[in-house]
Amino acid sequence: MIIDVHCHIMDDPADRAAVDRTLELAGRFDIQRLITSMGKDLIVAPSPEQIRQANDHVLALVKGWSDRISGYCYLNPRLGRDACLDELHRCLDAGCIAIKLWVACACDQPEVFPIVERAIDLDIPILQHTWVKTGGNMPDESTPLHMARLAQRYPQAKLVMAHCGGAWEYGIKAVRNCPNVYPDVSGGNPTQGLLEMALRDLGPKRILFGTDATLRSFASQLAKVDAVKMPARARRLVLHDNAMRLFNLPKPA
Amino acid sequence: MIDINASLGEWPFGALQYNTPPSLLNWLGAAGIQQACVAPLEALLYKDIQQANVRLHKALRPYRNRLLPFCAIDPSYPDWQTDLDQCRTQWHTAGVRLFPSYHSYQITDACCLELFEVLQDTDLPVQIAPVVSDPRMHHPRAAVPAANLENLPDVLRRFPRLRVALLNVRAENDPALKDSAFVRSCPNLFFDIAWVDGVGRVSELVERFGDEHILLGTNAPLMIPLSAIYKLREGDLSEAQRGRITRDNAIRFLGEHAFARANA
Ligand SMILES: [Zn+2]
Repeated sequence: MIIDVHCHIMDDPADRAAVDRTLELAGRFDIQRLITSMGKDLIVAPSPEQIRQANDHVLALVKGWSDRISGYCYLNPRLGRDACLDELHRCLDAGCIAIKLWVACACDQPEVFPIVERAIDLDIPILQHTWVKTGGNMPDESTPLHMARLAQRYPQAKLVMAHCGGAWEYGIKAVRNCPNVYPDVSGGNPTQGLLEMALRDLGPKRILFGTDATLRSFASQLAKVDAVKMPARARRLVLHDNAMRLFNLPKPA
Repeated sequence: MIDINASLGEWPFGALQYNTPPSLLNWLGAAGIQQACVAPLEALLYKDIQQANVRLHKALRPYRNRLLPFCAIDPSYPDWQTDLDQCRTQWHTAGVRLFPSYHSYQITDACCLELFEVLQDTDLPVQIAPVVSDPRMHHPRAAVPAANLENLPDVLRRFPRLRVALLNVRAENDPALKDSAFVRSCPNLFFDIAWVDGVGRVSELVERFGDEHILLGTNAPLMIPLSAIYKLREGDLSEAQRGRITRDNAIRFLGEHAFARANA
């Protein structure tokens, strides 16, 4: 059984057949639990209203398919401490299990700190988008170095670094010495060498499997793991055990 | 299965594995792929790219029944004609691969049109790779944006017998493939699935373009060949469709003679 810690199910929850179909495609690869975020539109700097809509979409998916889908609460740190924490608790009460931060605010900025402090109190992970792009990032887009700074400020926080930082050689080295950062392998083309380097430099206990589906396919992303020779135990850590531990997921009955 | 988009040789930006003929064949074989079209990676940056072509053709001699050489030609470089002639007559190249982004020309430039004319006359298939690796992750001093192939329909109207395969395109939104009716009307136009991504995307492409233009391509060894095979699994294909995408279309693109010559 495989857990996808980073995906975006954009199907309308009212369209049961569409969600079922996405889950069926994931199931072809034994991806049995999907932790989704951000609703049907990916909004860079969402308003309070847009944040609520995105999270309501996720909550409807979690409610409708609790045996397969878990959810992140998406937050925009620029909306202020109180607005963020209120929305966080609304979503946690309704079934979300972690926090998603995207490109509204670089993750080493003070606006992010109260969110991280609350996540530490609650013992929940934060999935932070990261990428370092040749040709330049979006204005508030976090790089792996922002992530490393945040991790050093909050060594107790459980931080998931999305996409291994995009430029994964750079991303992996940026957080190599931050044991509380867990890179996910989602997004980007299935490039030779990514997982090999992550295993070499981080070890199998810090790597998480994610797909960035439905923007990417389950297929291309799982191939990143399945094409690499590794002990069965390491494979199970990457595809399942690490996520179970980090997200405190219940063991299936 | 035939992978029409593989490469061999040195990659300047990292320690590439599976970039020799036996190791590439093993890696493709682990994904169930037996044959591949291969071009030299060094051609991206060499000045005399014929050196890379000759090395590739020599290296592939013992593997010609499984690895078909595609020479790299830069039509903006002086006297590519002699290089191509040599690859064709002396090395029996199976086709030509173009890298317009690395070699800085447009596919509608006079030099490129001249090349297309020669290829059509000599019945050699051509592959065009607008991009090779993700430009967002390029070395900052070797950043090469993807080429724009939106004028491809004009080229195809001019050279109706030219067999063309686009490599590494996101076919779902590539400007060259915008007009799906036009694509469906061109029996000689193909594209590969190496860069196609998104959940269930291969079935969407079959719906939009039919199954006669889609080729199995992996962009190995830069990319993981298993990815392409998994994408087919995610694609709800009939056995017949799968056969066309993984083999029959490739043979139409390559020409029946490609493997016959390889076996000679
Ligand atoms: Zn994402």
